[in-house]
Amino acid sequence: MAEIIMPKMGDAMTEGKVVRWYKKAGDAVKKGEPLLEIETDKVNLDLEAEQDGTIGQVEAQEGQVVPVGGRLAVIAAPGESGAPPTPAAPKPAEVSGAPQQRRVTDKKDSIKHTTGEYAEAIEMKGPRIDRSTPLRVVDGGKRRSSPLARKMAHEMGVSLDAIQGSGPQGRIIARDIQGAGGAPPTPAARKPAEVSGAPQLKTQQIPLSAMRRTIAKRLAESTGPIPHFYLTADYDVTNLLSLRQQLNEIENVKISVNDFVIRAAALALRHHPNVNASWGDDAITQHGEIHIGVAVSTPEGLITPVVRNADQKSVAEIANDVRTLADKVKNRKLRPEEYQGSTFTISNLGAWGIEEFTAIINPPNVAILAIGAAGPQPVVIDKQIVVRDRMKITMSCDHRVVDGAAGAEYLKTLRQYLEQPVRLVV
Amino acid sequence: MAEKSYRDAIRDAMMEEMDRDPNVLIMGEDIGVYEGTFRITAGMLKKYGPKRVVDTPIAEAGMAGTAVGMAVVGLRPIVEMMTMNFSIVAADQILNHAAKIRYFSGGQVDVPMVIRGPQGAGVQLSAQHSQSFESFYGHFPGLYVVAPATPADAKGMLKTAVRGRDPVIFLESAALYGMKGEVPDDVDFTVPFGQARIAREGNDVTIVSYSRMLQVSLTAAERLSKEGIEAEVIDLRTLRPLDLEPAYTSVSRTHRCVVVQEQWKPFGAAAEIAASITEHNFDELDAPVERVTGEDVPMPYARNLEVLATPHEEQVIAGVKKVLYANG
Amino acid sequence: MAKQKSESSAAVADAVCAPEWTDILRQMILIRRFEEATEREFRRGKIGGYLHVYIGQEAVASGIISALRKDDMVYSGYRDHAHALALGSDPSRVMAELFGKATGVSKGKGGSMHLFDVEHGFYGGYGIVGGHVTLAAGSAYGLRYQGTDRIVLCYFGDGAMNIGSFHEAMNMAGLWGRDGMCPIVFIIENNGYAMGTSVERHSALTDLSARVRAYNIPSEKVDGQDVFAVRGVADRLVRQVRETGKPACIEAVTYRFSGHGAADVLQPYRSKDEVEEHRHRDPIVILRKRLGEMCGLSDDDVKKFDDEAAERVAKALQFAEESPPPEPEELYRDVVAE
Repeated sequence: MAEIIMPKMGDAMTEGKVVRWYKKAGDAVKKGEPLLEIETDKVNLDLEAEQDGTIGQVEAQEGQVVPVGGRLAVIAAPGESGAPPTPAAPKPAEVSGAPQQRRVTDKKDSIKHTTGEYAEAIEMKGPRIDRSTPLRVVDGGKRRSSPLARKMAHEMGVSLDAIQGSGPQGRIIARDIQGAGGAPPTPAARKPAEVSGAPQLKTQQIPLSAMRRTIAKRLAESTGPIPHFYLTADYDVTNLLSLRQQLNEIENVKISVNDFVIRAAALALRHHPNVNASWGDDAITQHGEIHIGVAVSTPEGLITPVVRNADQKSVAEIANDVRTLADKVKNRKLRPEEYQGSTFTISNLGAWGIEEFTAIINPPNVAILAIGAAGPQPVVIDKQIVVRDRMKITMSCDHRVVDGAAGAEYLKTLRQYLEQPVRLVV
Repeated sequence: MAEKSYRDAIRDAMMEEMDRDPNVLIMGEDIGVYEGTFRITAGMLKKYGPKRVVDTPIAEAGMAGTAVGMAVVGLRPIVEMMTMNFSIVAADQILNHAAKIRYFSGGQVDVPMVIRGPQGAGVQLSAQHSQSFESFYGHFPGLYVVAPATPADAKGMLKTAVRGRDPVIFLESAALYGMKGEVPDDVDFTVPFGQARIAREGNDVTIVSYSRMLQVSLTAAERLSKEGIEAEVIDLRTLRPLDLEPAYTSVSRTHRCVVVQEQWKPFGAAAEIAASITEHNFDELDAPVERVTGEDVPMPYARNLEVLATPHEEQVIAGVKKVLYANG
Repeated sequence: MAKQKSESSAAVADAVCAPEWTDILRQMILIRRFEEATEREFRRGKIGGYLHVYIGQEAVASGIISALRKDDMVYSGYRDHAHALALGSDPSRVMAELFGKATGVSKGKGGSMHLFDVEHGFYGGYGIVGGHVTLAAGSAYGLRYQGTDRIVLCYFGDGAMNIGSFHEAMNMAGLWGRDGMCPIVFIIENNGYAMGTSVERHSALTDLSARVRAYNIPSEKVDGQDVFAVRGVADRLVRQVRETGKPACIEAVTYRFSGHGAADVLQPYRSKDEVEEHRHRDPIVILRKRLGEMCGLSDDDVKKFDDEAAERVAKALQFAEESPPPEPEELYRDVVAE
C-alpha cells in the first residue's frame, strides 16, 4: 500500500488544490495513467500513477487545498489488500529525541519566515547569536549623552554632571532630563498663557565677571555641584494667621498658611530678580516670570508642581491652584508641563510639626525656602514677654549666584509681606 | 482600479508599454517559449513575436551589452534578469557603459533601458542565488535604482522606467510576486522616481524600509501597536535617488529611527540612510539610528540557518525597543 | 569505487569483460537510483532549493571519471551529484548535504548545486552557468606549474558555451596549452537543451566541437549514451593530456530524461514523444545488454546490483534523515580562513 501525496512541483510551492479526480476508489490504474488534476499557483497539471495498482481510499476531495506532502489517496499494488494504512500516521522524528510532529522548518513553508518558523528555528538550535560589537568605553571620564538630551539640558540650564544617565554605559537620554525638570522641545510646544498686564520683570542675561567665575569654581569644588549655604529667619505671623482665619470664614474659601507664603515669596521676588534666576555655563539667566514650585510629598517621593505667575494671582487663586495640583499628584495625573519650569521653590514641613529644616535647591533654581510650623511662642516685645504666633523660614542659596547679603536682603523683603499681610491683598 | 498581483502588475506594465510604443522590446533567458521562470512573460511571445520577445542564450553580459547598443539608436529594451544575482555577470556592461555613455559623450545620447528582475532570499537557494543589489547599483551615478513594494508601485514605476531616457535598475522581489493590491487601470498611470511614501503613521519611532522588508516592517508595526508603541513606517520606493525628506520630518517628531534592509550591514543602503538622518536630525536624536539587516555571511543552504540569517519582524521589534530604551 | 588504478595503455574498451566494467555498471545503477530518490525526496519537501538530476547521462560521468587517477581533479556545474558519486563520495554524505544537514559533504551550507569533496578530487558544484570553466583552466595551469602530471576534468552543458566567461576560459586554455601548461579535458555534456532552449535556438554554430576548436583546442564528438565509446575516447585523451599538458575536449552527445530541474515539470520545449524515443537509448540498458551478450552477465546479477543500490540509497536516506541540522555557530564559519 503506497500513498499518493501532493508533490512539490516548484521551488517555492507550499500547497496545491485538487481540481478533479479522473479515478475513484476501487479503480485499477496503470503506471503513467493520469489520476487527478491539481492546481498550483503557477500551473494546472495531471498527476500520474507511479506504479500499477488499485486506488484505495480517496482522502482529498475536489476543491480541497492540500499542503505539499499531504496525502491525497492510497494505492494498493496488484495483489495487495485494499485496506489503507492507519490514517494520519505520525511521521518519524527527524532528529532523534525531537518531538513527533513535523516541524515547520522542515516544511519550508514560506519565504516570509513566519513567526512560527522563526520560533522553531530558535527552539531547535538556540537564538540568533548576538555579534554586535559592544559600546566602547569613553575615555577621559566624559559622560555619554544623546544630542537631544544635551540640547534639552542646555536650554534648561541643567548641568549634565548632576544627572544620572539611564541609557547604555550611563548615557544620559531625554527622559533623564525630563525627570530633572526639563521638557523635550516639540515643534509645536505650547507656551504658558500670557497674563494680561505686563510683568514687571524682564528676562536678562548677566555675563559672569572674573570674580564670580572664581567664586563659583572654588565653591563648587568644595561642596558638590551646587554650593549651598543657609539663612534662617524667624517671622511674626500673628497678623497672617488672623487674616487667614477671617478669609476662611467666607464660604467656599479654604486657604492654608502656605498659600500666603507662596504669594509673599512671589511678590518679594519682584524686588530681587537675582534670586529668581538660573546658573548657566556662560551667563546667569534672570527669569522674566515668577513660577513657584511647591514641594508635595507622595509615597514615591517628592514632586514639585508649579504655580505659574504666582505674583499675579490672588491668595485664593493660588490656594485653588495648589489644591488642583495636589489632587493631580495624588491621582498620578500630573503632566510634565505642570511640574517643570519653576523659577523658585517652597517646601513646607509645618504640618509635620517641624520647627525648622534645610531644603536642597531644586535645579535649575538658585534658592529654596524651607517653611517650619507656625505656632505660638514666647517673645520679647518692648521688654515684655508676650505670646505671638511665630514661623521659622530657612533659605538655601546657590552661592554661585546668590551671596549671603543677597539672600538676607530677600528674606528682609519677605518679612514685610509676611508680617504685614495686608500687602498681600494689593 | 482593480486588484492585481505584483507579478501581473509588472506584466501589464510591459504589455501596455509595448502596445503603446513599437520601440519597446523585452529580452531575457527563457522568457519566450518557456514563458519565464516566474511566468511574468507568459503569452507574450505569442502576442508580440520573436523579434520583440527575444529568448537569449545564457549570456548576461551579452544581454546587457547589446541592450545598451539598442538603446543608443532609439529602441527601449527591457532586459529580464532571471534573478538579479546573475546581473553581476553583466556588471561591466551596466556600470562602465550604460551608466556612463551619456556623461562622457557630453550628453549626446540617451540610454533608455530597463534591467529588471527579482532579488533577495528565496527558499534555500544558497549563497549565489540570494543577494540584494540596491547598494551595489545605488553606488553608481548615471543609474536609477528602484525597489517597489506594492503592485501599484510596481506597475507605475515600471512605466516610468520604460518611458525614461536613462538606464534603470528595477529591483523586484520574488517573495512579493504573489502579493495582491489595488492598481489603477489608467494606461498612463505612472509613479515618479525619487519620492518616498508614508506607509503607516505614528509618533513613537520612525521605521525606514523598502521592498520586501517594508512588508516585514509593517507586520512589526502592527505587533508594536498592541504594546502601545506606534511606529511611523516609510517606504522609500526609490534607492537612487534617495528621498529622505519624509524621514527627516518624521524623526524630528519621534527622535528615533530604525532602518530595515534585507542584506548585509557593511556598506548597505541602511548605512547611507542612517548617515543622512544623523546629518539632518543630529540634535533631535535621542539614540543612534539603528540598522536591522541580514547577517554578514554568504546565505547558507540549511533552512534553519537561512531563517536566522534573514531579518524577521522580531529583529525589527527589538531594534525599535532598543532606540526607545525599552528593553527592560 | 571505480577510478582507474592502472596506467595500462590498452584501450579498456577492448577488455570488455574486465571486472572493471561490472563496477562501472554498478556505479551507474547507483547513480540512477540515487537520483530517482532525490527527485522523490524533493517532491516530499525534504530537499529544498533547486535539484538537477543526471538521469539518462550516467555514462558521461562514469565513463570518463573511471579513466582518471585518484589525484586528478574534477569540476562540474550544478548537475553534479553523479560526478561526486563517480569519484567515490559517500552517498550518505551527499544525501545529507541535499537534506541540509551538518554531516553533508559541504556541512549543509552548499546544497545540491555546491557539492564539494576534495578528498575524492571533486572541486564543485557551481550555480552560475559556465562560470566555473575559468576556475578549471586555472587549476590545470597550477598543476603543471607545480611540476605534477595531474590533470583536470571540466564538465559543462551545451548552454554554458554561450556565456562570456566561457570564452575567456577557452581562449586562455588554448593559449597556455601551446606551452603545455593546461592539462585539462573539457567535457561538453551536450544533452540538446540549455534548460528550455534547444542547441538549434541558442548556438549560432550548432557544431559545438567546432566552437571549441576555434580556441585551438582539439575536440571529439562521441555517443554519450554508449559508455564503451565514451571510455574509449576518455582513455586516449586523458593519457594524451597527461603527457602533453595541452587541453582537449570531448563532446558527449547525451540526453536527460528528467526535466531541467525539479520545477521543470511541463517541459514545453520538447514533446513527450521525443523523450520517449530517447529513453530507448538508456545508457544503463546499453551497457548491461552488452555485458549480457558478451560476458554472460545475467538478469539475476543485475537484479542483485539493483538491490544493492537500493539498499545503499536507503541507508543514505536514513543517515540524512537522522543527521542533525548545522549548529547556529556554523553560520559564521568558513567565511574567511580562521
